[in-house]
Amino acid sequence: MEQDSPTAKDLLETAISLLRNQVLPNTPAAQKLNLLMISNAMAIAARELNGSIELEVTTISDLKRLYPDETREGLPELKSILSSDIRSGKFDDSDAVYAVLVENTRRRLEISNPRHLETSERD
Amino acid sequence: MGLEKLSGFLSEKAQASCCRITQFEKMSGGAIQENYALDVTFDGGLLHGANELVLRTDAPSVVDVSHTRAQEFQVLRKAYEAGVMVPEPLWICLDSSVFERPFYIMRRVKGVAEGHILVKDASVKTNAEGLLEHLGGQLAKIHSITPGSHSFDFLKIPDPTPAAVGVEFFRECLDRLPGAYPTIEWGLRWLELNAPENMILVLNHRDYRIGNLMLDNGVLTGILDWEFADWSDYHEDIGWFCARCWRFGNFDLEAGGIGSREAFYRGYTDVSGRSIDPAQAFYWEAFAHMRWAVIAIQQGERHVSGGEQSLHLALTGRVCAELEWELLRMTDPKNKQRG
Repeated sequence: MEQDSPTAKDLLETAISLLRNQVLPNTPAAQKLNLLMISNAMAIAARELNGSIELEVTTISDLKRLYPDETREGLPELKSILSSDIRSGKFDDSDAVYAVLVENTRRRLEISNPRHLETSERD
Repeated sequence: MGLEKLSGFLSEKAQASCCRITQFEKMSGGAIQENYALDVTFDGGLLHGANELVLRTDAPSVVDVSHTRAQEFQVLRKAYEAGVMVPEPLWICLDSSVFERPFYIMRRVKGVAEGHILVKDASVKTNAEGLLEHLGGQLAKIHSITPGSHSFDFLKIPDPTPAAVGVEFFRECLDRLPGAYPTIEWGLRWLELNAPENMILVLNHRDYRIGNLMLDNGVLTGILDWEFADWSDYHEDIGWFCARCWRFGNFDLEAGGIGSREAFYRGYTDVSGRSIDPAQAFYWEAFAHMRWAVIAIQQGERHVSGGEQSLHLALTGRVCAELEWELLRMTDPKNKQRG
């Protein structure tokens, strides 16, 4: 279906810019932290609007590679199987599982806090 | 809320003929506990004159892993007696008719305890190494309280080890939550397989970090928030203090985001006489990320489940990805020799 313009992502980003550049400097100190939390939440939501479907599809594809014979295909079920197998020791020191977890966490972090990823990778 | 009953309680405990409450104001922070700044002038008795105090009580929603106010008061008193720099605990009141919930009274210490402010504070930067030596020494004083010297009827000796008990506890927490967390499970498995065999049990503060240490002009005035104190190996508090997740963005400054790990270790070792094992410190830093991650998931779930709608809780839930990322960096199978 055609998306109305401007997009939800655009609306959120424009609202964040207004909040940070014009509202925040004139906000009483006691409310600044609340305002920063609001703009952070909106920024996460804007990034997620862009990437959440892709994240889910890619994660399912990664997990299916670990479980090629698994008939269940939903993300919650696959995560649950993997969690249980990790806990039981089936994947101790598995480079393949580690790589899947790293990629999934990297993609989630790109949404939740991309700056953390940047500083972390500079280390 | 009327403060007549509170005044009566304070006068009786201070053995004063009467008292006047001149300020009673909720202090900022505290998702689990509430603190009120309490200015009281006593006529006669033990605290004759003007006093700056704090009333500490439970917030309406309580996290089940934290101690009750009565338990926290006991720990605080023992720490005070051991020479740890804590706000002097004065009196506890378990009678809910006085202030709706149990509370205790302690002296108020001056300063700032917000981590993100303190890591940028010029007075902290100027004497960061000296401050860290002092903080290491204070931690050693807390750790002078041992199961051999003290007992608390609400604290169990961890069996078989604090690490094993922690892993089991985290798994129980996950099992009570909806959804699955493969990366957390990966970290837990690593913690299980790499748990240190040796342990020296001491009283751990279990939230000893910048943010819970009141500093005034770069000088420690009080160690706060004792609600998670428990018996554990002494490296647990060291790992928590130095963990990357508690450096408030100053990742290069490994001790709390304010200075060098060496200064903190030196202060600790000088007072305690114990050396710090780098492998154990590394293990407990990974454990710190895990503990904070499980708390973050729980906090997010408090919001999502509708139990307590809060943007702060919701955003805390989103911190989990950062913590999982750090856990993965620490548990790379290629670095097995580190564990």
